[in-house]
Amino acid sequence: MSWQAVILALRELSHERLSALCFILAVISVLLPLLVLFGLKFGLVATLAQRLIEDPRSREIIGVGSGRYDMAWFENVEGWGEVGFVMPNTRAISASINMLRNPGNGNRLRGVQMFPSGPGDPLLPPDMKDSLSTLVSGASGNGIILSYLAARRLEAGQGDRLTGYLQRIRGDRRERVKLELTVLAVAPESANPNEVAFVSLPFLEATEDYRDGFSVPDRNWPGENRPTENRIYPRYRLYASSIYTVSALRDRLVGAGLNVRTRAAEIESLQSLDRNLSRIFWMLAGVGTLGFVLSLAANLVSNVDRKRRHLSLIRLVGMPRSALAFFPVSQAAVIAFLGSTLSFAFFLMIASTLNGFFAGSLRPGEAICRLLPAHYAFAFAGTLFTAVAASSLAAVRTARVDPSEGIRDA
Amino acid sequence: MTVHDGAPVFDVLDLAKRREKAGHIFELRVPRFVLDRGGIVVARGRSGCGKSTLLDLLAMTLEPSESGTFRFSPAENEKPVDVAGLWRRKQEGRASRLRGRYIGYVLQTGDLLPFLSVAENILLPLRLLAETNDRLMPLAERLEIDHLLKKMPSDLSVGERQRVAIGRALVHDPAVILADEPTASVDPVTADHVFRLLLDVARERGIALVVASHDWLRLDALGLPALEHRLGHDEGCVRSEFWN
Repeated sequence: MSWQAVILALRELSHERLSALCFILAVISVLLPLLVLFGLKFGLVATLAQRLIEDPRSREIIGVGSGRYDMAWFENVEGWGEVGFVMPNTRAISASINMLRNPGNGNRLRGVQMFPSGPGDPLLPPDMKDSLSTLVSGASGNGIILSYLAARRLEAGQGDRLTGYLQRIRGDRRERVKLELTVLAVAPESANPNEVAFVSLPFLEATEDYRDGFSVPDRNWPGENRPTENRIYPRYRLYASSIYTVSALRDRLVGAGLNVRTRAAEIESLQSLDRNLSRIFWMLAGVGTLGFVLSLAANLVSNVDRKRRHLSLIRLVGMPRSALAFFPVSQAAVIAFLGSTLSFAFFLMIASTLNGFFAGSLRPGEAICRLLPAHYAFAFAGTLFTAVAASSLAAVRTARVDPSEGIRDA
Repeated sequence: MTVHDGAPVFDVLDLAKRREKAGHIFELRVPRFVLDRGGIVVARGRSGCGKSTLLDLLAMTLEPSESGTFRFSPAENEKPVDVAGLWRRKQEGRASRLRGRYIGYVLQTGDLLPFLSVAENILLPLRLLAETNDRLMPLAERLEIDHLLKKMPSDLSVGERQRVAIGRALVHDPAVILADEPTASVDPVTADHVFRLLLDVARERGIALVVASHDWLRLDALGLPALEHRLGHDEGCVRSEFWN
């Protein structure tokens, strides 16, 4: 008897195609904006959070002023749980190449800032691991990794040979040495937006020694003998293991008497922005969902009311109340199914359009508007549940009416 | 009127339905009502006197307020059903199934389901019973609607619809047909024709028939037995009584 009610319900739905279409459109008109809203919230927040996590600069600890750190200090800090990467750095004033020249085309750059680098450098992508190994192991120390902009200016690429010059003033004489350098790799634009180079620490140390007037025997650079005392580094490159350990690491360094600057405040404000944004989204979504439930329920209740005459007639011909409930419920289920399926199709179209608008500022794999399969499943189940619950409430209400009354009053 | 052996189709004593609407109390009382197998009876009275309520009580769609005895005996060789007991035990499903199997209902406006064809409307009771039989064509020919079977109800005149509704009430070979003003919404000529058909087919098949009507003239002309009826007022209460 129940499936007869389902068949009759479907027959009626296909007979009243126009009204069925209106119900389906009503479902779409409330579900679709909600899907887009959720898709934007999810895509946008996930992208922002991912970028924050992925951007190594948000994990950077910058020392203010210069200090005095020996190798033992670095070995100690490297063992801290909050530390992801640490590297000694020389004085800023001596950490530059006076001129870098591409002999292939004559392009040249002046005053190229150098950064010490090595395996695990968070600024450089993981696939440059081999180049970084070569950089630190190169016995002659003539490997160099160019920043994106430096490489573009020099029109140099991986494997190209460059000529560099270091200058110093000793006494009243201007001196310089020539460097034969090999480009090991070109860093992505995100690593550093300026014309800079990543080099090995020994190379930087040699540069500093040369600028200080000392000789560098390994490289046959002339000068006075360097005292044999342990090297003291005034600066460091330091990155926390994740954005969540930045403030702990900062506190530890400040506790040790260091003066540091971090992005902890920015991270916190971004996190609170995310929280507030989420709240706004959830409020809108809450209101939207409530509206969706109410409008769907109201539509289906009025649908059942409109069909009271038919329902009463079917009862009069001998269908029990319990079986009759399947009539409006199966109609609601079909409406919910078609409405949500079409909403998903429209959502995918809108999402791909929105992602197209933002394609320029998105990286591969990122989307400004998207939903996970679980979200679709949830939306579908919610729509179906609301539809079935609303229509069965209406059906029960109708079933309570005596069948003949339903017909005569209508 | 043909009287068969065995229990009457309806055997009712002291059945009552009270309704209150906008402060007015309406009470229908049936002190005694017996309908023999194949019997035909008319409940006449003016509009609002409770004829429809009577039919709904008999159709088991309306719960009585009081019921001394209410027995429905659809098949000759079966034990009569205690309808009063069904209501007491809230066996609405059983009442619906009994109605579907043994009762045919014809309404004033010949209500048909607009989304089913004429043939499907006629076959609806069988469909709900999950039964089939070959009565459709002979019945349609007898009711002169065999040429309409494939049409939709919206293509039919009121008189044609009424005949389709009669077909629906007859197709599953019920024990009794309840007809509520079956001819009130058609013109007099059509009304005579439709009413004749209903009477003839019921008689041919030995199906009991209860007709509610306000149309004295037509009923008198047909010489059908009518229920006694009294309409009284006392202290804000309208009391309508039917009995035989």
